[in-house]
Amino acid sequence: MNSQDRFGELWTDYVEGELDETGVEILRELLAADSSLVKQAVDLLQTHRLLGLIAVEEPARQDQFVRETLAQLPDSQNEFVSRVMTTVENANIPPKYRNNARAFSRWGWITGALLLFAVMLFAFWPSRQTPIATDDSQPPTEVMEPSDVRLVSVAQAKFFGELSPPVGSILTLHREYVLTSGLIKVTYPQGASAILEGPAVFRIASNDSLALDVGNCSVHAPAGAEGFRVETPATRVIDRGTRFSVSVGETSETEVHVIEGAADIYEVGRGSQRSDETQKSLGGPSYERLTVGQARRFVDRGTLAMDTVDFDASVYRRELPDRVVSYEASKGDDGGAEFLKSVTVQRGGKVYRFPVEELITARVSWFNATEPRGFLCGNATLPASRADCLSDSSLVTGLINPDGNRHPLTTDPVMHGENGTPGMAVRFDRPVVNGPGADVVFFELQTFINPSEGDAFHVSPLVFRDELTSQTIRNYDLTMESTETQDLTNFYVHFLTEPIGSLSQLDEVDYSSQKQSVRFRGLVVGIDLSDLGYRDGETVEGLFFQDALDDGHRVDPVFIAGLPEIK
Amino acid sequence: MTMNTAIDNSQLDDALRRVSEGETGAFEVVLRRFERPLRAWLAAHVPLGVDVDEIAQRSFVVAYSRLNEYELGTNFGAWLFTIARYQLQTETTRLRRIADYHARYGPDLLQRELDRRSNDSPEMWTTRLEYLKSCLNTLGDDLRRYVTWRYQSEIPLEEMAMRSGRSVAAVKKQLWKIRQKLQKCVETRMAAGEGGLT
Repeated sequence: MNSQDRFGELWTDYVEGELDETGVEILRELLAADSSLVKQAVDLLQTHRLLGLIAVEEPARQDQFVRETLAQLPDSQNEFVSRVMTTVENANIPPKYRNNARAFSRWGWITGALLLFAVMLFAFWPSRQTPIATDDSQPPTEVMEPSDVRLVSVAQAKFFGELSPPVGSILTLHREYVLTSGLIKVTYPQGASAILEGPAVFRIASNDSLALDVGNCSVHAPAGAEGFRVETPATRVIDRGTRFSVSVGETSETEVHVIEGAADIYEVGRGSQRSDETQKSLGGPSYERLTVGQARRFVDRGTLAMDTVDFDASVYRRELPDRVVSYEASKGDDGGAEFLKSVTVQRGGKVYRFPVEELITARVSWFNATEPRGFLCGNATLPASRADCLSDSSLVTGLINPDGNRHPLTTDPVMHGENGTPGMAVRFDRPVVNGPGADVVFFELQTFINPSEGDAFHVSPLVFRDELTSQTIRNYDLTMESTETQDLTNFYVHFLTEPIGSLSQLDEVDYSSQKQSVRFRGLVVGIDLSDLGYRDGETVEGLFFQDALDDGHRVDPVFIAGLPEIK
Repeated sequence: MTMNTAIDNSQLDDALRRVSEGETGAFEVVLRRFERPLRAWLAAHVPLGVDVDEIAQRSFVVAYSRLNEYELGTNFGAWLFTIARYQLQTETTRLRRIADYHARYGPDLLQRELDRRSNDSPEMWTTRLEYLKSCLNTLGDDLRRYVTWRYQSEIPLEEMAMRSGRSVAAVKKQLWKIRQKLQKCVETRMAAGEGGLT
């Protein structure tokens, strides 16, 4: 065996992890004696590593990498809050925020709230370490561990610096969660539940308590969950079998409204420093008991003061808003979602799952665009009737980039001739009955360089009358950042060479195709016909859609359907 | 839909600006833009026993954390790869300090050559990756199956031997030949590509 063969054998054993110490020594000697072997070895090593990379190079794996990396940015809100704390302590604003007025305007509220929260925390730090509240449970330790508290639903929830935890996931004890907008619902093991409304900063303080530093929450503690607590910077609200809401302002003023049953409110934090007057103002030695229909505001003015406020039952949120909750789809070859199988929608507070076969198909009846663009997406070849791209159940075939108008329609769209209304009309296979919540589902495809909330569009009646109006949809139920939003399988975009003034023209115009190489996701929003002015139970035969022309991005409808009547 | 299938510099700058304003989600654009070239470059340079994705993720996280040090409008890719290079050096140094690393993972001459090559143009590695993919397509099915078994299915050499009806030694030799063949193919295409640019 010559040295080249020996080298090949040793090197192969080396990359296969089968080279023993003796072998390593021999390989080392061979390399030391011949520098060309070093080059060859490293060349082949690099090829070997690239082959490994190619083997796992698929969209799903790349997406996983991106998602995992995003999940590591900024490691946690605790880190963010501690950075704010450091900022406060050092009286030194980081350069990232110092020179960026726009950043402050955008995140001003939440940053301000966090700073105030940090200031409160900092100011009360010594007393927080030695609480002498009448309810003398100790403050939580800072150990991060899973709780038994579960995130059960979300509605357009956005978290600062991270994606929303997945629905169904367990939340971490003592971790700061910063909900910047939207709503979430969490459930506790004893049966209590809380709906939090962004912006809010909260922690799961224990398996039977919620720490709300800023924001609003609505609590329901059914029988068996009595004693559930909401800790705020100034108070501790203890459930006595009830429904109540707690709102904590930027300066920690806490407002409590009791909707059902009763709740006890304790003061916390500086018990030993409270004046007798304060204790009296709290209605007794330790707490204030509120019963149904009562509301109080607790304000820290050096000493804790209590104000009576008008009871307002509307501040209590019994459920998350009606919305599209999730959808199921079959998978394409690359693992991305392709054909819609079902859609789950909350309507009138109840959650329904509709198999795609039960949905009422919407078919395009008018399409008008004044300049050539990519109007169709889907497979490499188009169907004979190209408008069918919208009505099939595929989430990657559709009529995309329709024309629009900055202002929504106020009169009937014109759907004939050269001066037809820009946009797209659909007619349902059978009339859609206006029921509770969303009546029509609208799917679009979107990628990460497009608006994360979805592309804005107008939806209008085909025939106006006095009480009917157009509606502009700007926020989808499932957005780019929703954990229920699915990555789509790859598809082609077909660029038509001429403007389109009719469906027959849509079928005839030449096109060129381009395969998308960027990952898209399937966003969805529910359209409530009541928002357009239709009466409950009224039937609707079709709708008109236009891009809102509010930015450089056009809406990309891939599937529109009516929901069946709820009986 | 924006029809650009690649993320251009203006989109990248826009995303970086949004990230600097606190919109963490916009960092996904950055990740999508550089995930492949960075992993390709790292795959070619990390020592054996080191997870490419771990170093890549660490590099992105550091870039994100230090974004206030990056000047918008300049070459973000170069800045990111500098960070990645430092991350790689840190990991290599850490490994050198592990007493039995070389006993387990082999000759330090290889590592020195890898270190030297870490100053190569990062862009070149995306090209190499593409060439390697096209070279793979030139392999006949008989040879291609070994690549699939080894890199995709990750089956043991013994099972590969069983499936092919050959000895383990013969399988190893086959793998050696395939890697050499692919290496030569890539080098040829790289040379042709460079020649075409002049």
